[in-house]
Amino acid sequence: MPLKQQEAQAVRKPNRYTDEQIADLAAYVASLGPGPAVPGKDQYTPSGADIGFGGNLFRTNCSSCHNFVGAGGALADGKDAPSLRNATDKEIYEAMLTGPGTMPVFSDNQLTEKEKQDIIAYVQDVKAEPDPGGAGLGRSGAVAEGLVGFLGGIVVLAGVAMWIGARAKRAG
Amino acid sequence: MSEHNSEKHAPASVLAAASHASEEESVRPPLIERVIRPQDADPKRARRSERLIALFFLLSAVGTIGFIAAYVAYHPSNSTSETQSSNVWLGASLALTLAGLAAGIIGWVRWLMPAHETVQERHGLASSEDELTDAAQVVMTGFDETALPRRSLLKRSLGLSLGLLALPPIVILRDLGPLPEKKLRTTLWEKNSPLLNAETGKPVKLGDLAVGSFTTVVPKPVDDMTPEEYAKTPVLLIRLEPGLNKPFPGRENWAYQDHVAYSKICTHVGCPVGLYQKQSHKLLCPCHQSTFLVPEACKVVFGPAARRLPQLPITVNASGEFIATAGFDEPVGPSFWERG
Repeated sequence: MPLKQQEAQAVRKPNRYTDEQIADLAAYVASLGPGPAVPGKDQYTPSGADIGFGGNLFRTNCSSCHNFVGAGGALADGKDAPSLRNATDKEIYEAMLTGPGTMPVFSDNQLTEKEKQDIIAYVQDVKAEPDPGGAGLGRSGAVAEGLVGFLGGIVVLAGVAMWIGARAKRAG
Repeated sequence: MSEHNSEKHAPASVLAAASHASEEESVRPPLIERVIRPQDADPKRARRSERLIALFFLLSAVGTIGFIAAYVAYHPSNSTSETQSSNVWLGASLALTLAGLAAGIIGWVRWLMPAHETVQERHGLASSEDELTDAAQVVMTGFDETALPRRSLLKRSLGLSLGLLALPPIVILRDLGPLPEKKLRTTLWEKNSPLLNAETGKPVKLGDLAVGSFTTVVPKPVDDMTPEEYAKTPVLLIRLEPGLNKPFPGRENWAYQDHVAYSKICTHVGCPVGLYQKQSHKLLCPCHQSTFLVPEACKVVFGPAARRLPQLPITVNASGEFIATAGFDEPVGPSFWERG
């Protein structure tokens, strides 16, 4: 905050406003009309949440745009669904409640507070999952790994083949 | 022809050194001059190349020792981060071993081994007349000994047995059937089917969805459906801004208070169309980017889909829960052979 420029998709960047200034802005906007309040810490903190059920909810409601591990993905009209890698519990909760940008709203009647916490727990758990192979490659699965392996490997093999087949150097 | 024969039986010869009669050049590639590489001209240069090759082999040896060291140092069963270190170092050291070996061998061949080109003569592939006659005789003797031309009973019964053997592969094609009958044309949705949340199984009530919300609904709990039934069943219930929906002619009462319901199965190849963009009211299919405009009865505005998403007529019952007023009036999902 504030937005850098008007474009299809706002990118994540460091805040220029302090937390206090943002709270003041929110209070002013709240005075103009009804809307959801800023959630409290006990609302968005997933304590004792059901991560497995959160995963089911995430795959049904969120994964079509945000990818099944929250890596993000492309939308129409030059927009994209951002990666959730840097998203905090509070940000995920607020996003579900208000539907920023092109994201649909998930009201408390549709996904209860508990279900939202389950989703947050799933997102944070899957983010903390280690990558035993070394590089996670966006955790997009076997397709990404196969593509990188194929492209990287074929370039190396082509280089070696050219070296083997190159004309010998002539003296003088 | 005789010339050609004599050439075929000539011993292998070094092209650069050999001197050939002019008529032979027409069937051979042009002579290549002997290559004098810097290593051939300068013994110092050759020694330098030798040292470089030796360095590659040494690197390979270091890689092997590293592999053993990494195997001893890291125990994948201890922790995931140790698994990660183990995988990375085992892979890197083995790569160094093999790459060093390969680089050394290629360098050896390219820099130190003789650089002249040689021709290896090819011998004729055909067998001699005598061998051909002998072989033909063996085959004919075998055939005569079967006495097949004489024994017509054997000939016919064998023909029957082999002929019938062709039938089983044709008969088992039956397993490809039966035809799907009406299964592709119908879904579980019918009059008064409840709209249940696909995850919780609870009925969706009027007011559950905020403006700009959508949810996936099914007519009965997912666990009570077969995979075949579930595959074509999911429906998206979307709440649009008031007054935005432009009903398709003849579907004026299919929506309920800005709530509309459309099949979630793409009419292209049947992916779940789950990417709802609240501001532009577009539904995007993640597989092939078919885009449907929700307020205009989900007409196709982009992508390979050929038809709108089928609409489910809905209303709200006395207890405030959404129900379907009828099933789909067209087959959901992608085209099929008999759809017409």
